[in-house]
Amino acid sequence: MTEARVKKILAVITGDMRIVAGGAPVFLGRDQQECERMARSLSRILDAMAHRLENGTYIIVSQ
Amino acid sequence: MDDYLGMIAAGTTAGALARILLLRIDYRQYPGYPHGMVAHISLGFIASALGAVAIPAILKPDFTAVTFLALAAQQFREIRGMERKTLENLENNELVKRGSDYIEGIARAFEARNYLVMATSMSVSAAYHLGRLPGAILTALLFIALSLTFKTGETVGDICEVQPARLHFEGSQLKVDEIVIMNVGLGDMREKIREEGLAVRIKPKGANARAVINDIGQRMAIAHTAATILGLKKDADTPELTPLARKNPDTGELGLYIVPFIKDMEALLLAVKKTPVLESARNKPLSTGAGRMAAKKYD
Repeated sequence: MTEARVKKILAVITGDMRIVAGGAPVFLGRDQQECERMARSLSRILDAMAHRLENGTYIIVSQ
Repeated sequence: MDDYLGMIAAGTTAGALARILLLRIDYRQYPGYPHGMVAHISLGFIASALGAVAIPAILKPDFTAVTFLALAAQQFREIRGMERKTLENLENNELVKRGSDYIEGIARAFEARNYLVMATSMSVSAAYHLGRLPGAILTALLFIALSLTFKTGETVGDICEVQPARLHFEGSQLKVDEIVIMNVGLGDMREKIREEGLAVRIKPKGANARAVINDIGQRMAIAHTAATILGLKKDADTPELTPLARKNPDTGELGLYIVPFIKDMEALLLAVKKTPVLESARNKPLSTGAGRMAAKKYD
């Protein structure tokens, strides 16, 4: 549990560049499968949690 | 002439015995380190020796000698600092954090146990002076029993009902019954959690219990205990598998989610029930007029 710590968005993975802006590195996937694969890899690489937003965009959040 | 040696020996033995009995590994799984145990037994022995010489010092009469008890208190405060530091250093490498509340509770318990030991040895040496061996044995048994009841304290099972709950997903939202736990983005992780996860529901009995399990430190302690006892599938790169306890904001009930190494619901229920209620989480809103008034409207 990590309530006390500040969470941070480490990366954003999306299939549609029009719905995201900067702030964190943005990765563009060609389709949903590719987005999910990238989200999985990034989550393992960064030891961080992958969350899916309702619009199909993934964010990698540090714990 | 008074039998000073007998008094000191009786007091020290009783105190050291009390310390060893208080050191048994319980559900906190602490202290599990052999060297930590040696350190604590030695300090307990010193504490009991200090307690045991206090009465002979008064009888001597050498009243100023009693002031070293103050020195002893200073030493024991350092024990608390030492424990806290050790556990905080280990905390970074725990897959499931104990939480600072739990650490503080453990550290305070270690300090308090040394005071219990001192009280035991002091009383036993006084009893030896008044009632010789039979008196000393009787007092020792009494104080050890008293110390052991201090040690147990309340557990979550005493103040809450713990029952199995349904773990399911709503989109990517992980839920225990109606309580939202977290958002899990990856499909294969959702599948794993669905297949291997367990969930329990913790229902507080009344307003005091609700206040206890609303404490975030207490919830971390519950998750930590469950994880230590059942094991975890989580590794450093799979934060999705971290056990989490979240509450239903309307009822104050908790949902606990865990992906244990050994999927055994009975063991999980027992582990949650046996989690100690932390001192820092203990709240008694029902002891106040306003708290009772508020609880009457709700419960």
